[in-house]
Amino acid sequence: MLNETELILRLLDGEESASRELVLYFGDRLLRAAYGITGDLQAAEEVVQDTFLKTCRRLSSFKGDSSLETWMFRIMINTARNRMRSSWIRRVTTIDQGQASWVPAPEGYNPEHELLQRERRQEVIRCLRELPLKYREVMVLYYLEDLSVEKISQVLGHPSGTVKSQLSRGRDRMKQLLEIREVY
Amino acid sequence: MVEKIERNRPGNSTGKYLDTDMCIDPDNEIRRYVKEGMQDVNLPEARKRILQQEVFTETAGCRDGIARRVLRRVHDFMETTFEISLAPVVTALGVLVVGAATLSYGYLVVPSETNIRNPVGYIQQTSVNPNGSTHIIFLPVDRRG
Repeated sequence: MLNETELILRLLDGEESASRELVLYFGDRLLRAAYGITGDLQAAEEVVQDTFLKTCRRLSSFKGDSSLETWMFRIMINTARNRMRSSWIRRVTTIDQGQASWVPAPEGYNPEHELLQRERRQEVIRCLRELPLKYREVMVLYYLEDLSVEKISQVLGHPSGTVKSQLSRGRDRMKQLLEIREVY
Repeated sequence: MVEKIERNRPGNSTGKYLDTDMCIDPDNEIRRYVKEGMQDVNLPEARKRILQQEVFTETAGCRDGIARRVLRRVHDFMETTFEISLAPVVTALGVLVVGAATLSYGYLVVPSETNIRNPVGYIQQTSVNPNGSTHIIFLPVDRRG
């Protein structure tokens, strides 16, 4: 379990290992969530980079009202939203392009597994992209990142009731989509 | 037997959705589907290294910011402290200065002002009587002539 306060203090003390821990702990998680929301891996990587930079720049103003995890996910969501709002990302981001920039596993490379995984990922992203953004955000945070409803409400700045209702509607739509795709 | 435990209730405490019509738990199915689809989405190692360096650099700027903030806080604290301790001292000094000015006013004024302020002076006239006694009289004169 990550001791966030200790990590922040070590970061501010200039410990290089703390910056490595921060990236290792949050990097992949933020990337997956950003990818689920934007549907484009390259854009997601840039969102993650911006998230880390913004987090570090604002670290001295972090009051600890929420956890570091909640705070970083909030920054990531806002960054992803801004990115998706821009006409540039709407113009260039397509699911196919998103798939073009997927990251191959460096060890134990297995082309069949890669292909299968790629298809799965494509399927999941396509499915998520069919959800409205407000449902997509909640679904990604709840199912992919296992954040609690309370934490999601802090991240999105919505009341818990709204999050639960969005979660329920998102789940209904997702279920329909999965049924259409005969996933279950 | 079909048993509906809980269906589409957004207001429940956990946000869980159980539907046994299909003998599946959509919560787990969706979670598994999403997680398995994304399981090998990771930041490339090179990207991680760059990010670590950027995080370290950016927090250095933040540390400077903190140093400045600490200095400002110390400064504010000192200002507050002096304000509290100096207020009565300044008041006392003010009273002293005003008092001293008032007291010294009579001594510091120029002669012309003295004349205007107090135009009557006295001339002392001393005389010795034949019996040896001394007689002193003060004669009032107008200093303005």
